[in-house]
Amino acid sequence: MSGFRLQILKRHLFLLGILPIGLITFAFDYLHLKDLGYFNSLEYIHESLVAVNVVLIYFYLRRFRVFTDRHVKKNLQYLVVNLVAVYILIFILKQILKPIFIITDFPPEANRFTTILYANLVSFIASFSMVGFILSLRNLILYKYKKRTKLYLNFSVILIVITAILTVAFKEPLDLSFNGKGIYNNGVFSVALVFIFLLSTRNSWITYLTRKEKYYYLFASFLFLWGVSYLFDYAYELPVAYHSLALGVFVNATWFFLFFYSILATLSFLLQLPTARVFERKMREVASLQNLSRAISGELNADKLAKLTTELILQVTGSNYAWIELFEQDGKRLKVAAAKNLSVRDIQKLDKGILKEFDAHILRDRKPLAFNELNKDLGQKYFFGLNISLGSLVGVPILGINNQFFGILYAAKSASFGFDPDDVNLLEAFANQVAIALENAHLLQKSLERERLERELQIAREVQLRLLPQNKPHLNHYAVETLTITAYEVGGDYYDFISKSNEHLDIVIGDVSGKGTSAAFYMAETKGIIQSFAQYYHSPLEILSHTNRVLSESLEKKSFITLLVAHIDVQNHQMRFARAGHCPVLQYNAAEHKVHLLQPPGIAVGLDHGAIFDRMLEEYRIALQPGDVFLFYTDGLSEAMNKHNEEYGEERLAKVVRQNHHLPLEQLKQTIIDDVFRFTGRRELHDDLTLILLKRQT
Amino acid sequence: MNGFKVTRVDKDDVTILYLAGFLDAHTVPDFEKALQEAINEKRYKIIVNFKDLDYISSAGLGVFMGFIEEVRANNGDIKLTDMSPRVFKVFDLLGFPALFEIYEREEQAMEKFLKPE
Repeated sequence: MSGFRLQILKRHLFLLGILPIGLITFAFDYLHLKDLGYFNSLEYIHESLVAVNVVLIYFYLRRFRVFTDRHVKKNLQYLVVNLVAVYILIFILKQILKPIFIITDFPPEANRFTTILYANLVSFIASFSMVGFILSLRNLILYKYKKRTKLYLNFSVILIVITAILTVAFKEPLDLSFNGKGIYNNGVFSVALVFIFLLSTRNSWITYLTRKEKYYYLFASFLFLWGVSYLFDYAYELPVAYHSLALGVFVNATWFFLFFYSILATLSFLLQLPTARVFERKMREVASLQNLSRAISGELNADKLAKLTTELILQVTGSNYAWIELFEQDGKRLKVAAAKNLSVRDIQKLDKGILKEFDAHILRDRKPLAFNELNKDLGQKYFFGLNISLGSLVGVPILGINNQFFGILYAAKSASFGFDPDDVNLLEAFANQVAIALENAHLLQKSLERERLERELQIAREVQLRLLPQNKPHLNHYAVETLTITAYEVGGDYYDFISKSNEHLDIVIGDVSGKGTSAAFYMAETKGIIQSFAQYYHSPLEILSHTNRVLSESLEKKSFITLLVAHIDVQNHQMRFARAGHCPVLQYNAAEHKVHLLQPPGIAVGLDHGAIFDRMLEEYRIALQPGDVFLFYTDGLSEAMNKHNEEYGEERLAKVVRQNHHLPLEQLKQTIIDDVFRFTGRRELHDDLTLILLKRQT
Repeated sequence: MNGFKVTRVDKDDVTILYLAGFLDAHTVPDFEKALQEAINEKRYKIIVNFKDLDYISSAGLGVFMGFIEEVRANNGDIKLTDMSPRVFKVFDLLGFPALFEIYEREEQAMEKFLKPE
């Protein structure tokens, strides 16, 4: 609070300078100290003091809120108040003091005290008033800052200071006459006026006024201009020139500024009136499109957006009716998504396709269709049955980026010739905005869908990994290694070990046709079924036969599962296995140093409900010799493809096994997989890959 | 990446579908559509010619299983012909020869349709 007071006090400290200086300059006049001929130093002191006072007044006034406000209307008001106040004050002073100046020479002279007092008071008023005008005009000019404004302002000030010095020195009036010595100060002054004129053209605030305001201000500006024209002659010419030539120059220059500015503003009002309506409309268009795009970025609901759009159409185009028809999900029928000023019955009729022909026209041409004169014939043809009376109608297609048809936007007026090309363009812009919004909504939908699938895939992958055995079985005299590489899209690879005792091990390997979530669930089902049958049945043939009976009932027609079950009898070093459509078993026979593909007949699970499956399935028995290696794998291994679409194949597999059979099983596994990736040339697969290795230790 | 094409030729009451390119999970819908269309027209005698097919995945095999029941229920059949060794290997591994008639040449399948024993 005290700080605030102190600030106000500080501001008014300027008055401590302004008022005494005013009194001192008055003393100069009163004592006739300045009329002592050329190069009178006292006179220069007088003029300097006046000039200093103007500067002080500038710094004093510019802090006032009325002069810091950039609001156009406020500044215009202050200009008018300033002008009217000056006229009233001067009028009163004239009435009281009745001044008489001697104008035989320049500057004018005064003998009577009242005239001297008058001149001083008027000069004082002029200083305040003119500085006020400058501040108000500055605010108007800076409404839209342009790069040269400051430059012009500086030039003007410098030139006016020079003019003031020259005028004081040569005592020639600023009548722009260029006689005798007047050529110097008038010359510089003319140049100053050029810059002042340039500054006066800065009235872009006018453009943004409403049409009504432009009319109103035009009228006001005529009166103002009239007031400004007489201001100098009526109030300032003689008293100010008498009091101080420097102040005279300042007042004169400011007056020109005010005059130029008023006259140019008046002209601008006058010139902009014919285009005011168009400009106003364009402003509204811009604003409405802005509104719409703002709404679009936040609002992805097509219906709400359509509603907003129809509202804006009414506002901006002055239409009586507006509605938006959008294609339904199936893309076949148009349905009203939003309507303004239409009855429910009319909307129902539109939904039923009353405008079918009109729609078809727009759909075919993909261009706006406007009827500005809907005569009876057209009315009968297109609008028969609608309750509204239409004089003009425009339909605009709502087209997406890929020329996708979203729907049609309609605007209608009761009057004929309601739509000019501008209106149609604007409606097209609206339609484009709607299309963008709809496109956005579709994209969002798609990305949500993708995200959902991604999540599903993630779940499937987790399910699949959890179904696989977490530990390798331990058997005397045998080593077992496993490897699973999952593809990006979850494949259907599955394997399991079922061990009833240390002497027996069942190896199960399979591949579910199809991918993703369904494959993962079939896999889970298969695991459960096999696990339970393996408890009851000991032969792979029996296990597979029963598994097929159960699974083929629940599998989709298109789905099937390849399975291979091997039973290993550790004590007797025997293996029995059966193959239901699965990849063969690859055997490295150590004694023969040969690789064999063991492929007993058998069809995949799910292809047949029982009879054929059982008839085809055969069990294979084989003795396990020391050093023998057996490979169980899925087609992800044998069908791993290189970029020429060649498959890795069993032959390559056989070769690498034969060459590396002696390696510890872990290393053999690594060698095989390295060989596969060397073949494919990349480390990613398009299908799951599973490999189980079994070796009887030597 | 790899295209797939199915071309349909009708000879009398036998419909022949020529497959070319890659038949995998991504291209299966095209093949399904072609089969479905033929069946919708009540054409149940179908030959699928694999002459120009480079690759078939398990999803591609599933298509046959999806339709065979309905086709056979209407006294028709799907017969497979002109498989490359690579394609035949896939069918063979899964045991399809036990379920489908597979011929080396299209004419053999045609003959079978015209003169059933």
